[in-house]
Amino acid sequence: MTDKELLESLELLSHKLKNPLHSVGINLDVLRVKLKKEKISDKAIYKHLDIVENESHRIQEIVIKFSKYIKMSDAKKKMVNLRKLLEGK
Amino acid sequence: MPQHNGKILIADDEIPIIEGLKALLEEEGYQIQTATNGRKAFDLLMDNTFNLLLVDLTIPNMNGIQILEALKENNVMTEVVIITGKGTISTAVDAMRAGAYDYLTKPVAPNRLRSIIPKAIEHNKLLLSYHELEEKFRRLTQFDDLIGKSAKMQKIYKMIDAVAVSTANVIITGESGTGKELVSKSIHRRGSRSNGPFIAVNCSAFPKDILENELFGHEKGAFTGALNEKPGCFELAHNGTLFLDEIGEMAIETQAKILRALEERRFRRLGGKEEIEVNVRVISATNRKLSDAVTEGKLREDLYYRLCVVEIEMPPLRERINDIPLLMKEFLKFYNQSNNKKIKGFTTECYDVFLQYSWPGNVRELKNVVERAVVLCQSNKINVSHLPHHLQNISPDKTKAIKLAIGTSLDQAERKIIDTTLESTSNNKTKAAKILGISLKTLHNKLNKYRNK
Repeated sequence: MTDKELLESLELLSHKLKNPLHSVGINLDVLRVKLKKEKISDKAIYKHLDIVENESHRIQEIVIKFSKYIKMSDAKKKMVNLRKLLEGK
Repeated sequence: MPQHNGKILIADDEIPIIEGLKALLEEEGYQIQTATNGRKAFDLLMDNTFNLLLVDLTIPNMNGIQILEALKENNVMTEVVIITGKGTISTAVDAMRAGAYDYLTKPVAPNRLRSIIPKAIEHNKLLLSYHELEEKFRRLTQFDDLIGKSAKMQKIYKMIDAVAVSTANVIITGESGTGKELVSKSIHRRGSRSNGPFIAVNCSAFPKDILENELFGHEKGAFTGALNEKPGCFELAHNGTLFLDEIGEMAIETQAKILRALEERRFRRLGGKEEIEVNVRVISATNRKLSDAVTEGKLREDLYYRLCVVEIEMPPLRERINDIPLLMKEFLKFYNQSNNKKIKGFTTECYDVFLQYSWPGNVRELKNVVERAVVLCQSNKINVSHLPHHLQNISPDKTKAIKLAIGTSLDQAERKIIDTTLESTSNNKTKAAKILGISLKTLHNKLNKYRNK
């Protein structure tokens, strides 16, 4: 597998993961709203809901890191005048 | 929890996402419909009114941007929020350029949806009410194809509505270009004959014999060259309306024939034996003053009384100056469309010229002037240089007022008047003296006096 192919597979993977993550995030939120509406105050339920939500956030963080890495390796290198760059010219 | 109202269409090919979004937004009080592909979403959008479309960019059949473009093309005003897994800048730019309200990347935080969606819906409702108001304004300022909000035009609209439901013959008078044919069409459209034909004949366009042939038709062989029978306009207008334009230009003999056709509701074709019965409402028009035409012997008195049960007098444009800006705007819109241009408006000087000009050719002339200007204009505003020469000559100088502050002495005022007049004549003293109504010598004397002071 070349570097390019590897990057492309990573990109596909991160893209494919975004749909289920999007769906999990929204459906968890719906669950929370419905529980509140039903006035269910069993703390254990909310504890486990929090755990699922946190775990899904962790996967999200990983996917975001992936995406950033892919974008960075996509960048083109060129020489710049550092002084001009810093002065915003 | 705040209860919002508004209709939202969710379009996504993933059922878990649809289910989640639907439940989330229903909890917020919205009415939700869903579609799992682009085509179905677009059909739903065309058949129903939604305030918002929440669409996945990569949905099968038609992608989010394609749906958005198709909506804009069909003037559907639903707001569109695009959601995508691809967080690239170029797709975001494409979406916003196509007119999306917003562009969100997956995974979208539920609270972000809760804050964006009410704003998008609010925006859509404002847009809808703006269009409703615009439509109401259009109905106030336009009557079928007639444009004008002036009191004179409002009176015309009322008369049209009143005579449309009657069967009375109507005569429309007014200068050329005031919209007499538009009035006659409007009467036809609003009356009980609107399903019947509307036939217009310009009586001044034909010599006498040909006009009679036009009006009454002929039988086969009625004259050399009459190879086939030909029905005339009276027959063609059966159960409808016959509009006789420029009736004052018609030969007296033809007028007699028309009078008979009107009185008996029957006539013969040229060379015909049988009488043909017709049921026609006649609306006629002339740019002459009718009573004058009668005294000059141009119009038979009996025909005059027959035709002129109701007279609608179209005002010349110079008597409804406050409609001019509205007409300019409407014609600009019209010719922008037909010429594929995006001219935004007119310069102030241009408005001044339009308002000062006497418009002898009335609305038709104004319409042509706007068309010409739209064709010539390469910038985003029409200015005086885009107008015909004789309009450019209405120099704004003529209207330049001389302002004098209270407290100015008579001497100072005289000096100011002379200076300003000289300025407007580019220092031509002979011209200035003429305008001021004094001799050249007096002017020189006065100027010398100022110089010595």
